[in-house]
Amino acid sequence: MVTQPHFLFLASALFAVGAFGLFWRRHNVIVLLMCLELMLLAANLAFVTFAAYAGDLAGQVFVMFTLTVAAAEAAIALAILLLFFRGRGSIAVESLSSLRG
Amino acid sequence: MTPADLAFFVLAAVLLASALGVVFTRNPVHAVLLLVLTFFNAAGVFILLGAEFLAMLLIIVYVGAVMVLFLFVVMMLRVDPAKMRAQGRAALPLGLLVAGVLMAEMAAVALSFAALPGAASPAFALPEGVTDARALGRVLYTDFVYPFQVAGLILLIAMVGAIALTQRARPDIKRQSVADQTARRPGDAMEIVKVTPRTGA
Amino acid sequence: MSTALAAIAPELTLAVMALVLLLLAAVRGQAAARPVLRGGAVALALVFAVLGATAGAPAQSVFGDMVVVDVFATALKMALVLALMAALALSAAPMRLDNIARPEYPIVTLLAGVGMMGMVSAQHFLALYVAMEMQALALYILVSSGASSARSAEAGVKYVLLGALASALMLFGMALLYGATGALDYVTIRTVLEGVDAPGLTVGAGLAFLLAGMAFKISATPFHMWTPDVYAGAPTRVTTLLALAPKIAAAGALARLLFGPLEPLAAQWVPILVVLSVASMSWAALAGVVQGDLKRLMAYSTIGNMGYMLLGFIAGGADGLAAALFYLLVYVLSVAGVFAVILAMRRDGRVVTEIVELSGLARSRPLLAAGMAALMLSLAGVPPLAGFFAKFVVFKVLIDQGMWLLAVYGLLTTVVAAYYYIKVVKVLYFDIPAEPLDRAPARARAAVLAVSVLGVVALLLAPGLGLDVARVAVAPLF
Repeated sequence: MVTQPHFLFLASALFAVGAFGLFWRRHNVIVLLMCLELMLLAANLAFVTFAAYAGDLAGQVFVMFTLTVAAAEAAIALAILLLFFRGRGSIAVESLSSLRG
Repeated sequence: MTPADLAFFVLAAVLLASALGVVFTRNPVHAVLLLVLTFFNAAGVFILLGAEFLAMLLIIVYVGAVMVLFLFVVMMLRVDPAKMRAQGRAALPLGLLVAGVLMAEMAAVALSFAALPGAASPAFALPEGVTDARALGRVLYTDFVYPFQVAGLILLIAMVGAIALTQRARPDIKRQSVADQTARRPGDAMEIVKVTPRTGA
Repeated sequence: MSTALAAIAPELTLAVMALVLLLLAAVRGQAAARPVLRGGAVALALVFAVLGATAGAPAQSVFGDMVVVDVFATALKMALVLALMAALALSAAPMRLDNIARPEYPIVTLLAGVGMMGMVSAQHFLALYVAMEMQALALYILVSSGASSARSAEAGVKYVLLGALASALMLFGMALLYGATGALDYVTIRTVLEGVDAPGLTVGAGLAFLLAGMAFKISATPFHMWTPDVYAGAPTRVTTLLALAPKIAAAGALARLLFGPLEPLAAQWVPILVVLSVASMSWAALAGVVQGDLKRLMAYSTIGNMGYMLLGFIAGGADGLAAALFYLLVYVLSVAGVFAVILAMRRDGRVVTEIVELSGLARSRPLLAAGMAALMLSLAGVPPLAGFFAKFVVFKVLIDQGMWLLAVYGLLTTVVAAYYYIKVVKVLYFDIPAEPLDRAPARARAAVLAVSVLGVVALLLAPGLGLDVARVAVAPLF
């Protein structure tokens, strides 16, 4: 029988995969953005799970907004990435190191 | 095991496998396609949870728009998989450590989860006998009108910003200017010269 | 509905003005750059007037308790409007000189302001999330808007990545708290949390994620790593904005969270804040010493100052929060002047930001140098300037709460950090003069610098006044 912890475990695992990707793929900005999308999806999954088991609509509404905002964020991020690519001719971003950490 | 349970385990397995694929594949185009697969499976999980409208939204907005945008950028930037540097091997232990700790903690949270005693009753209880989309529509423009308007402004900012950042003035390219064309009057282009007979122009 | 709209009149005014200016920009194109900048200043003045008119109104919650308008919100919004005005005024000259006078950027700045005002009024996770994302997206755009695209776009990439990570963390934290308490609005969450003895693992994890996200926003160590790069890479006019307004908004949102729904969890979050604060103070003091670039130095200054501000949160209670707010406002006041000076640093038409470029400025530009020196001494905490008084107040509330050790440690880091502020003063007055800086008429810059320096000095005349104002402002939270 699938219960709430199953869904939450799935969300947690997805979040952890995304977080791992941030470390493992830090040389490619576009893959980093995809890892962040995975983490956002995990948060959305958690929201929908809680909303479904509490019988509450508010959690679902929240997810609608995070989807909207994430779409806008992706558009901005890709525009900036394009700008970066124009300046550098590469997104294989060891070039990010020209600003020290 | 009910069919719904079976569906959950299949969807969850494919979901996690494709998410791992996004992280591990070398080819960014493959990564985008695997991300699409991930979102499709997540949409399936949303349906299992009774959030049909969000599932559709996830496919239409995410797969339809955002992922296509990603794909577009990946292809436009011509990221050559052969030239992509070897992965951050040095970061592997740290990454595994962080992800492992995160996973262990969150698994503990997930498996021990129970709403607090005295947790609030739903502020917007799911109405009976109404589709998900209709129920969401009822609250979105009424109770949630404030965030709805703010989200509108967010989209406006994204649009203005993306255009302002990436637009380049290209004086070397000739473009049609419809406004200029329609605003043109005969007097701007022609000069009518009255030629009196026998004097020449 | 009409009372709700009246309650958010300041945000509404600013948003509508931004839209009108956007239309103007759409019609007039690049030629609208100057009118839009002027219009932006007028819009902010208008918003300030609206805020002033509604300041005395009783507190009210609108939009189903999502938005609260009280003295705390109004006071922070006034500070935000002034900070935005300073940033906008300072941005005019560099945009003209760098030949990127586009009307879109002032408009995006105004819309960022709407988001920030929403943050300090938010009383619901959803309202907080959308408002915070609104200001964040606008700031990503502004950071990447530099003329020398490569550096600025690079700063933009870093800022977007870490900002998106912060919001993903916050979102997960919100989801966990929502799951445990069943509510998204602050009032209900607080009621639920007050009713339980042991909040449990889910709430603890939610709190940790939420605080990690907020720590990114106020750039507290160890979540500060984006700050120096983004400060240095962004165009200076944008760095000015970054150093001022978002910090006010994030501190306001943090105060509402910690002393609102999360108040019953104080036993959990105080230790987290202690770690963040101690790490920020120490790291900023140590790393700041080796910086040669003035903008990077100011980044570490921000990190350190956020650490001192958090001390007020840790002390807790109305007195602690009032001290933190007072500290924040003194910080913003001083930093606005510092950036007015940094924006004056051009030589042969090129922007310079190294500290050595200021060598012997006291000879060629005595007033500018004197102003900068006063601000640096204030930031260093040298009595009797405002910075000293702000630090004194924060340490005093800590000692009143019996947290001697933390206060003494804070004092020690202040002494280390003072080194790099005083080094700047030394360069200004005692080094061999470099080539003189370009002279460009800039009334806005002079005005911001004058207000900043006079404010920092004049606080000496009425040291209690600022603190009293802060006490009145934080009263609604307790």
